[in-house]
Amino acid sequence: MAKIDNIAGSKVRIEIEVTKEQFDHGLDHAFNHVKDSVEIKGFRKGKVTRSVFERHYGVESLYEEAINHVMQDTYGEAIMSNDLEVVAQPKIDLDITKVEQGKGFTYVAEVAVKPVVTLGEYKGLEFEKLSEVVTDEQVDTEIQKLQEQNAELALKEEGTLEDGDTAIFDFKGSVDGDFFEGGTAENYELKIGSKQFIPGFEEQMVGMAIGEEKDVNVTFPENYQAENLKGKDAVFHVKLHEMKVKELPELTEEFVKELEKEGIDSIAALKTDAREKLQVALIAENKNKRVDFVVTEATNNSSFELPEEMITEEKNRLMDNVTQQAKQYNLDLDTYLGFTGISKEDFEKNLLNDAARSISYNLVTEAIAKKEAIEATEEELDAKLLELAAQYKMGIEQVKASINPEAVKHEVVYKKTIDFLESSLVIK
Amino acid sequence: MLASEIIKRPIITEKSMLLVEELNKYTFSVDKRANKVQIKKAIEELFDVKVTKVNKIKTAPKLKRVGQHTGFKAEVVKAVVTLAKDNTIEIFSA
Repeated sequence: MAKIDNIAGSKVRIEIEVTKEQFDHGLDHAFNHVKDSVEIKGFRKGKVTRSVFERHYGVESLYEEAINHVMQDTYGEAIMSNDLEVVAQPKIDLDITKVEQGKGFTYVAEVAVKPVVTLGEYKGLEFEKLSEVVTDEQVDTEIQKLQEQNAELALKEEGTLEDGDTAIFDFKGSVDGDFFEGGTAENYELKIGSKQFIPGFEEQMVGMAIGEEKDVNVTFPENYQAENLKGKDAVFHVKLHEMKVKELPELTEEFVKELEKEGIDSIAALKTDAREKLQVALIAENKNKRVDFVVTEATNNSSFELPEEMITEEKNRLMDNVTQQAKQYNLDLDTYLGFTGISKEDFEKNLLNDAARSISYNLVTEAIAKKEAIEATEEELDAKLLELAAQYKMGIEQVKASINPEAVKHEVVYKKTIDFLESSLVIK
Repeated sequence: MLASEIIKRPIITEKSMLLVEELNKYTFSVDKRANKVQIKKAIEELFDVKVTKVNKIKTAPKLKRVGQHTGFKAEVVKAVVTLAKDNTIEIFSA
C-alpha cells in the first residue's frame, strides 16, 4: 500500500508499506539469485538448501537483495496505480535496522514528478511586423561574396607589402644567434594579416619592397607548442621575393558564366537567384523569431516549479552529447573545452541554463497542446516517419522498428503546437 | 558409553538433507564401537525423539600416501536414524 503526499519543488513523497508476504517473496527471490554461486562443503555448487545457507551466512545476507527486489516491485506498482509521471530517479529512505524476517516494513521514496504547469496568456500575443523584403544592398553583398570566393591572386609588381597581401619570402630564424629547427624556409607563402605566424611577425613585414631584406624581432608566446622556444626572443632574417594581391573578378556576363551555376547565364539572373535565396532565408528567420518570441512569452507567462533533478538529468544528457562530439575529434571533454576557450564552470552553467530552458519550453508546449487538444493524426505520423526514413536512408519498416513511436508523436505534436502558437500571434 | 561419546556430529550434506526431507531419516557420525541399540538409545536421550530404525554404514579407511609416508584416511561410521512420524531434530532444520 502506498500513501502519496505532494511536497515542494514538484516532488512527491510516497510512503510505501511492504507486507510480510511481499518481503518473504523478496527473500525467496534473493536466495534463488545467490544460490547458484554459493559453495558449502557437502553440497555441490548451487545445490545448497535454504536452511543450511541461512545457518552459514545468516538470513541478513539476503536482505539487501530482497529489499531491492521488493522495492522495485512495490515502487513500480505505486507509480503505476497512482499515474505519477516520474522524471528522475527516486531518493529512497529506509531504516535498514528495522527490517526483520517475518515482518513487513515501510519505506519512503521521494521523487521528482512532471510539474503541473499553470498556463498564462499564450494566444493572441502581440508581435511587431517584420520586414519580408530583401533589400538591394543585401543582394549586392551576396554577389560580392561570390566575387571574393572566386578572387584570384595577381602579382604585385610595385609598391610595398600591405595588410591583406600575400608575400612569398625566405626566412631564417635564430634564438641567441643559434638557428633552430623549423625556423628556416624558402619561398614561403604567407597571407599578411592571417595570423598564422607569431604575433608581431606579419606586422613587421608590412612596408617591405620586393628584394628587400630585413630582420624581424619577435618573442615566442609563453604557450608556444615547442618547449625550448617558449618565451624566447628570436630574430628572423627575411627576404621578400614576391608580393601578390587579391584581385576581385569583375561582375560581367563572362564571370557569371564561369560560375557554371545551373540555369543562370546573366547578371540579372544571378541577382534574381540571390534574391530568391535570401528571401527564403529571411522568411525562415522571421518565422524563427516569431516562434522564439511566442514560446518564450508563453513560458514566462506560465508558472511551474521545475524539479532540480529534471534539470540535472537534462544537463547530463546535453553533456554526454558534447562529450560524444568531442570524441569524434579524438578529444576528451577537457581538451575540447580548452580549444573552445570556455572554462568548465562556465560551460556547465551554460548547460544548466540550456537544460532548464529546453525543459520549460517542452513543458509549456505540452500543456498548451493538451489544453488546445492538439493531436497528431495517423497521416501526420506516417509523413514524419517517411521523412525520417529519407533522412537516415532506411526503409520505413526499419525506421518504425528502431524509433520510439511516442517520441515521433511528441515531435509532431510539438511542431503543430508551435505552428498553432505562431499563427495565433497578433502581428502589429 | 555415554550418549555424547556415541554420537560425534551430524552429517549435513546434499544427500543427508534429502533423506531428512523425504524420509525423516537423520544421519550422524558415530563411534564405531557402538551398536544399533546403543545408538538408538543415545539419539532418543540426546534429542528427545522416538527412533524406529537405525542403519549403520562403515566407510573403510582409505590408504593415503604423502611422499614416502603412508597412512589411512580416518574410518567413519555413519548411522542413518529413522524417526517416528512427527519427530524432528532441530540441528538439521533452520
